This record gives sequence, structure tokens and C-alpha cells, in this order.
Amino acid sequence: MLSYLSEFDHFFGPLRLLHYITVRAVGAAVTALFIGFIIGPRLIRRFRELKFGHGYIDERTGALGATYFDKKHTPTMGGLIIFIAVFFSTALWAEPNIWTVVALFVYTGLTVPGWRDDYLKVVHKNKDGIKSWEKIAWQTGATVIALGVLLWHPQSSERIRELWVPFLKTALIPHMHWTLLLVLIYLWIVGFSNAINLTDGLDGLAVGCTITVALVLGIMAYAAGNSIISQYLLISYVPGAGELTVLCSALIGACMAFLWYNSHPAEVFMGDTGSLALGGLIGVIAFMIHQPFTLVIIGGVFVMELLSVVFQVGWFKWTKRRAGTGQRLFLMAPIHHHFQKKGWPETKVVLRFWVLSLGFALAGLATLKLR
Amino acid sequence: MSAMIKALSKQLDARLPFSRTTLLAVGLWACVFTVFVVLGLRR
Repeated sequence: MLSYLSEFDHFFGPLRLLHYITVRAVGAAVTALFIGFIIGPRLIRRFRELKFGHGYIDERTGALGATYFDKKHTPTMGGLIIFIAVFFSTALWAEPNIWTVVALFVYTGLTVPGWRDDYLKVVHKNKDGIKSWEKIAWQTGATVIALGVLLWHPQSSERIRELWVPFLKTALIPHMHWTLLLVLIYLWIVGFSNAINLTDGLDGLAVGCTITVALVLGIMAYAAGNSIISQYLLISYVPGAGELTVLCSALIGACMAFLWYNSHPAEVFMGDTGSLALGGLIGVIAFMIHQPFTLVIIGGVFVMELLSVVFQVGWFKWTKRRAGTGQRLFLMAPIHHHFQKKGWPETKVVLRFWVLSLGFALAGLATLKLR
Repeated sequence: MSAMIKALSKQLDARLPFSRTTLLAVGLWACVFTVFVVLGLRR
């Protein structure tokens, strides 16, 4: 909202700077970082006082080998730190438009079930947390309302229906039917929510990978929102999408602040409060800037983690049906635990996965030019 | 008068499900979000 002050530059010249997305993006990142450092210790202290640690070993997938290692008493729900920092920083620095409103709405809409899930697990000691139907209801509700608003608003109603894929210079489908659009957006939001949820198993892993994804999404949003750059790169031009760069910068700043406390040994976990919401946020941003399939490349680590669980479970069930005894593809799923079982220290797994994440992010960025 | 306000305030704290800080934070969030949505959805 600070961008409105740029209209008063005749009173004070430097206010003109607030017109520029790049300036506001830097401001948003620094503000989110600052907010995270201010509220982080306070919230962590509060969570510790309320004993918001898991207090149990998660054995839901024990048969296939996914467990938490010695992290019973570390407080969870740290995703609130990221949410507060992102929300207030974005509200301050981004210009309100349909894209930023819907992105923040989806982020909020998915933070609530995540928070509720964590709350049931740590306060009510309910190991299963939120019921599956309730989680699906929240995700469906957030997606349907977001899509409804995007289809209603004149700035987004035509743009959101385009389907673009990497390497093609024009839209694959210029005008999608709303049912196909709903299915795709839902799959992306739910898919990446669960992917980040699965990735959040080692200290700093999920949030570190989110930083690289947010960085590239921010660059792509800037390119998509600029008519000259988008024309040059032959990518979709989405008027107003440049404001999503400010949101992505706020996300980077918030994640950096959270990583300060989440680095090994973690003082706080993001929990479902963070992972569910972050997945939904990056999924919906990717759709709005017409890069949903590029997100599959950029978020390669998240996709890898999700697929490792899918393949592990699928292979186990298939071999059990065929041979009577289930076999494992990996020593443990998700895949970061497989490398831990092989003897890699936790910090080595995390740092190597960050390297992979940066590699995937750069590969995704390269698709902007390879058309 | 101030004693009465203090007594009422204590009663309110006892009945509220969340702390005043939490309610203040949620209230602030709701206000900011409402303003942001109204400004953002203008045609």
C-alpha cells in the first residue's frame, strides 16, 4: 500500500521511488526479515511455554520407514512467524490488485487448516490432527473461492484461462474451460502443499528450498508483469503480476528469518501451519504468472520428495500383491531420510538438497530463454 | 471508576478464550486484510 505514496512525489521527490517494483521488493524483503527477527523469539518462547512440541514419534508411515528423529520437544507452528512476516510486509509494500489479493487469500486460507492440524496434535495430543475431510474442505474452499474471484474480476478473468507450458512461445490452450482450470489449480495447490509438507522433515530443508523457489518465481513474476521483457522473452504478459514479485520478496525475507531459528539444531518447526500454506502459495503464484509446469522444474526437490513417497508406497503395495511381501525402493521415504539411513549427517543432506534446489531453480529460469 | 474498570477488565480476561495480545493481533490482521482486499478488488 506504500505505492500510493508515490503520487505525492511533488511534495517530496524521493516518494517517486515507491512507484518501482524493484524498490518495493527490496523493502518487502527487509521488512519481512525484520518482522521475523522481532516476533520469532517471542513466538518461540510462547510456544515453549505452552509446550507446543509434538511429544511423540510420528508412526503413521512407520511400516515404510518415515519417522521423526529425536525432535519430540521442539515447538512447532513456526509457520505463523512466516505468515505474519509475509502478510504484513506484503500489505505494506505491494500494490493491492487482484493477483496479490488472491495470493494472500489462498495463503491465509491454507494457514488456517495447517494451524488447526498442529493445534490438535500438540494441544489436544491428537496424533491424527485434523480430519482428512476437513483438510480437503479447506483446500477446496480456498481454491474455489480464489478461482471464482479470478474469473469474476475483469483484470484476471481472461488471463487466468490461458495455459502456458515451458519452451512454447504461445499459450498451449488460450481459453481453458473453468472445470479444467479448477482441476489444475486444485492439483497444483494440493500437490505442492503436500510436497512441502513431506519435505519438511529435516531442519531447514523445506524453508531453504522455498527461498530458491520464491526467488525464481519473483523474477518470473517481474518478467511476466513487464510488457517489454515478456515480449522479448516470448512469455505470457500478465498486467499487474509484477506485484507478485513484492510478495515473493517478502516470502524470501520471512523464510530467511525463519531459517535463522530453524537451522540445525532447530529451535522451532514450521509444522503444517507453514508447509501447507507455503505449498498453496507457490502453486497459486505459478498459475497466476502462467508458469505452472515450470514450477515442477523450479520446485524439483519438492517434486522429488513427493514422488519418492508415491513410488515407495506404490512399489510396496505392488510387490506385496504380486509376491506376498512388500519391497522398498528406498531405505526410507521421503527421500531425505533415505540418505540419512545411508549415513549422511542431517546437515549434509540439507545442504546438498539446497544445492539441488538451486540447480532446479536455475534450470527453471533457463526455460524463460529456451523457447 | 478505575477500580471498576480494572475489575471488569479482569473478568473479561477470565472469560476470553485467547489472550488480549492474540485478539489484538487477529484484529489488526483482519483490518489490514479487509482494506487490502477492498483496494485490490476495485475494478
